[in-house]
Amino acid sequence: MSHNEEVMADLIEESLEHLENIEPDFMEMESSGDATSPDLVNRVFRAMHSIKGGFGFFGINNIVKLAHVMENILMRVRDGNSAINIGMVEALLAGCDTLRVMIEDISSSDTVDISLHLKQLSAYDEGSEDTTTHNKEKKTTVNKEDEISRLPQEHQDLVRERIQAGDTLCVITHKDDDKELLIKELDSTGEVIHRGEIVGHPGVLFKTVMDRDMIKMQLDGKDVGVYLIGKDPLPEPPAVQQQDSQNETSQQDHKGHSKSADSIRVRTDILSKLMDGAGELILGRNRVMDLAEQSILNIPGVKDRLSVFKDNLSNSKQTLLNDLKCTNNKSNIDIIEKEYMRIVGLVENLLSTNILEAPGAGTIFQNLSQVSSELQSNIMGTRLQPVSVVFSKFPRVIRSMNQKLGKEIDLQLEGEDVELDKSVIEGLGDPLTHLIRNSADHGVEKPEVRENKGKPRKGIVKLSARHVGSQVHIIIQDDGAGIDTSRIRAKAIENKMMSTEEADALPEKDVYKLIFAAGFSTAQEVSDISGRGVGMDVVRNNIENLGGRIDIDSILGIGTTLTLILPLTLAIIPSLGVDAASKRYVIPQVAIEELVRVTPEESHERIATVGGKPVLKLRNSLLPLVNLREVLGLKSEVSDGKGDVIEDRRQGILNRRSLELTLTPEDSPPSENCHRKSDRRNQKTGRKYIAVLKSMGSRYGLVVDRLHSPQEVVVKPLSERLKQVGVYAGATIQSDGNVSMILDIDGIARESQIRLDEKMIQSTNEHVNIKESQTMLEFKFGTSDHFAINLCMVSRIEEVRQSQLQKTGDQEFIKYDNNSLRVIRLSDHINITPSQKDPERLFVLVPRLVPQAIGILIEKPLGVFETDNDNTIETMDSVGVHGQQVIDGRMILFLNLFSLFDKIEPNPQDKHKSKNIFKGKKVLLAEDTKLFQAVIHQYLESLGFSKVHTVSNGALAWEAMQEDDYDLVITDIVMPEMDGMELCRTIKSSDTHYETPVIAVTSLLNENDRQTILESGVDAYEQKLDKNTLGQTIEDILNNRESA
Amino acid sequence: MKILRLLIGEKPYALPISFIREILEETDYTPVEKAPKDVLGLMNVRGQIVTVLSPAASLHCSDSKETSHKRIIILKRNSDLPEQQHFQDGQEGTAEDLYAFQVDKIGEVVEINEDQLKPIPGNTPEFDATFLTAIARIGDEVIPVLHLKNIILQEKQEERAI
Repeated sequence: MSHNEEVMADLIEESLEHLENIEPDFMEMESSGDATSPDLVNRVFRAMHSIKGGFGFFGINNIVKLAHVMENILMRVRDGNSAINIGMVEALLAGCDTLRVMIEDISSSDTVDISLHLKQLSAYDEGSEDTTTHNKEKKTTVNKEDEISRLPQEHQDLVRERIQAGDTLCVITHKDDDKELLIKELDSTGEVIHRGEIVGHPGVLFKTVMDRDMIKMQLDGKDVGVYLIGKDPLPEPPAVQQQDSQNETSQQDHKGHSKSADSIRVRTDILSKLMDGAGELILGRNRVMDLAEQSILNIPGVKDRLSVFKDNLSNSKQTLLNDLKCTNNKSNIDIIEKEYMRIVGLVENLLSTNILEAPGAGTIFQNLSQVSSELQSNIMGTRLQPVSVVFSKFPRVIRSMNQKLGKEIDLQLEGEDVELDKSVIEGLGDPLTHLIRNSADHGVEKPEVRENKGKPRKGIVKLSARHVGSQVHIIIQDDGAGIDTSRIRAKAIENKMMSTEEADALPEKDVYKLIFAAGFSTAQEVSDISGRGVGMDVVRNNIENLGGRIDIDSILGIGTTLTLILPLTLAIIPSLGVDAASKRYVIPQVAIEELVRVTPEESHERIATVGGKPVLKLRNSLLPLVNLREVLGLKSEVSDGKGDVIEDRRQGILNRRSLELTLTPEDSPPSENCHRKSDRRNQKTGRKYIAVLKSMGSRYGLVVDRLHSPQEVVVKPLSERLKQVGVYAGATIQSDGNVSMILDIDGIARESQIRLDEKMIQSTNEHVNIKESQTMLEFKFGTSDHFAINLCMVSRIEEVRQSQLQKTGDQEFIKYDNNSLRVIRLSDHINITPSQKDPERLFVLVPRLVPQAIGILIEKPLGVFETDNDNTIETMDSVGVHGQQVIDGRMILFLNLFSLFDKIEPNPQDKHKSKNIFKGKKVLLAEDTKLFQAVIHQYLESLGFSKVHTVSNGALAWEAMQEDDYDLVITDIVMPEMDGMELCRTIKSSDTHYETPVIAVTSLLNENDRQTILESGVDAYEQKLDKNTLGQTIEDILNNRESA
Repeated sequence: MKILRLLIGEKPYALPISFIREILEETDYTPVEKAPKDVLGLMNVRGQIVTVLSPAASLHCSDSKETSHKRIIILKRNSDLPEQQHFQDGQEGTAEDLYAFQVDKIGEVVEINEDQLKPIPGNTPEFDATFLTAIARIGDEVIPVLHLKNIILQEKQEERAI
């Protein structure tokens, strides 16, 4: 690129930026009218001015002409000579658009017809250029002759002559040290007539054809003064005072410049390379860590050398011994044997250490680790841009739509400072524009319609961005008419996408998805803004290409909410590693809805076959299953009949070493091997691990052999040949240097032809989903682990100081309410990474509803969240943990306090345990929440009931009661199908079972609920997780029955 | 020009060394399921991901049993080639991504003159013209020179099938 081309490229980029920046300013001018702040007008004026100047320099006439007129209007506004009005802003905006078109294609800019613009604009430029310049000149007019006479004698005639001829002559003062550069620069655009000192200042006399603006433009950034002869008063010769004031101004100038020096332009391809480099650095670091963790003996070649060494040593020993045998000195022989053993021992011992054991090594590695992480995040930071870059164009979009469609829509922006990777930001403009237009066109009704409906005339479209975990959600919300699903159904039938029956059976949420099908538009009238039937499928593709997805939610008559879920960056994504046939694959976390584990015992119950394909029963719906091994054509498992995977075990042994390496997640500190342990936990044979995946086009369960810990991976794009395969979205390098493929969720669905099945399965699913939501408390402990426990089990959280902890034996205590409370660290009982060091302030979580008095030390509470997603809670089985779940991009471990505390302090006095009264009795438990099912079921069994039967709703409970006689029914209140109260009413009003006692258990109790529950005829109600009182109540009720 | 002699299967071939980025002794790549037959897998070469191809599959040569001489030849990307080199000696450049060929053995580098390059004889089934640019005549030997772009992108495969 030649120098000029480079300057031009910069100019184009800069000018486009200017145009983008001033657009919102025009809108502001329009809404504020004459109250617009002068600063704002000035800013717009300056932007237009620099566009004009820049292209003037290159002689791009059309752009200069248009910019010039616009600049004039803005100048008039600035100087108070023109009032702002809508027509003017309109014309200016139109001008901006044309400028943009011309700037984007400079070479054909002169062919663009700008006459219409010039005509429209000139209406607001009535005063015309001449008057303004005249006015200005008046103010500054100076006596030309006087000024010329101050110039060096020898040049005065020339100056007069050239001014007459129309050239610009000026005095440019400069600092001494800038001289060389300045003169060189000026020589390229004019003639330096005199140099050295002029009117008492270091400076030059300069002749050029450029006007003042251009000269300033050219000298932009230099500390100079420019004085046009005949127009500006030349500077007075320096007196002491003046020197000062000059300094002051130059200092001010300087400040202005240094401000702009705070940021520089960097080419994005350089940033991409830096980013790649940082990614590599992280990988390199992980590999070094892996190496350092190993003992020196494991380094290839060391063992061989050790045995050579031993052989040599042994030979020399033998020679020595042979020599000594002649002397027959027994004690010497002993000494030599001993020495030999000692040396070998020493060397072996030395080699079995690892590098990390060297003094100070830990710190060095920790440092390396930290620095490289920081470097990576900083480099990532350089690529981040605020979403306002995209958002800022929408006020204009809405404004023009209001005019064209006769609507009154207010656009509200929120979270404009949320930052996303440049590549994501760039890809976001088109799809967002489309969605915003859709909301304004199809969503928000006309003012009259709104008034008829009793809504305010003004409609609202709200565009907001916020961080959710490691993702960004961009939400477009309107208070319009909502999506009429009946119309979409009708359209789908009309377009022959499905039959009437199929359409009727489709659940609401899936009807919305149809909008994203190609060629689908329900707009009754086709406007030129939207409704052409192209777009939504393109929008979907665009968003998917950015690694994101779209969720739609709509309420008819109230409005529609679209949520774009996007990754922060395309280069590094949070992900989950999975294994199939001992090979590691990577799933982007954005696609993971939940993780499910199915044990061999559950397998029959939970995995069914529909239309010859396996499906998973997940709560009330059926989910198509795809086996990753089968999709990829990997060796299928060899079953021994019980569902155990033999193949896998054998492979596991063969590959143990390499596997163990791959199990270490990217950011685990060097000395931790907890993830390996946690992985072993996953290795139980016969289990199926299912990742429930969701992308725009499909939702299905992916069956894998094994789940790994979540990790961040650097995404490497695939080569052309591998892109064509269609089931991979990219590749990544694991910490051991091996390459893993990143799965393309939609690609796999296509490959296994899920789509067809899904429709059919959905039509068989007619249940209404009633779910009970749990409020969970999330907290942090250890280096990176997030935990959650049910909020109803939290008594209180106390902040404590490190110094308040007292150690007795291997137990820790804390003073609490004048009592000593035992506190535990989760890292001592669950396989997680402990913190390197306790923070000075900690929190103690004091649970309730558990028999043991134990507090849990936590780093800090993070807040509460609601979840109705209890199926996830079973992907692991480890004492103290229900399972893990991905919530908003965070992997959260759900604690099971009962099993955790039972392990820590077994046999707390449970006075109800195994009393005779429970012997031979049968109890029926109706409970839909898996977590409570497990806990209560376990407890009832521990009491000594001879049969505990658990069902998941009231209807099933009633069915079960027809088949067997139960001595007691324990039921949850909120359940799908038939709730607890209805179950109770059914039981109490039946002829056969009215005598069976019913205990209701609930997690929330307020007065109203209490009343309704009692009215249903229950014999007692209890708080769900309070085992002791529940035990007491059961005992009481059964006793009553006995005695009656 | 300089060409590198090599064996694919048991047969001798050659490719111009100016297109070679580096040659690796290590042949440890990660196989990629579902990939076309001639795509062996991916390899991590100092943090760069390279797609490893088997020219043997394209040229219908049987793989050599002997593995100890196998080498991975990493080719330059188009963007790493000087502009004028794209179309040189019948070559049409390589590709935008990093690709590598697994070959069964590499031989010596030979300097040849342009007049030693002969057009591929027509109707000789022995040489599949799609994947070759020319025949190099070195002494008594004739050695086919690989057409890099066609082997990498397999673009002319359909044509060939006819």
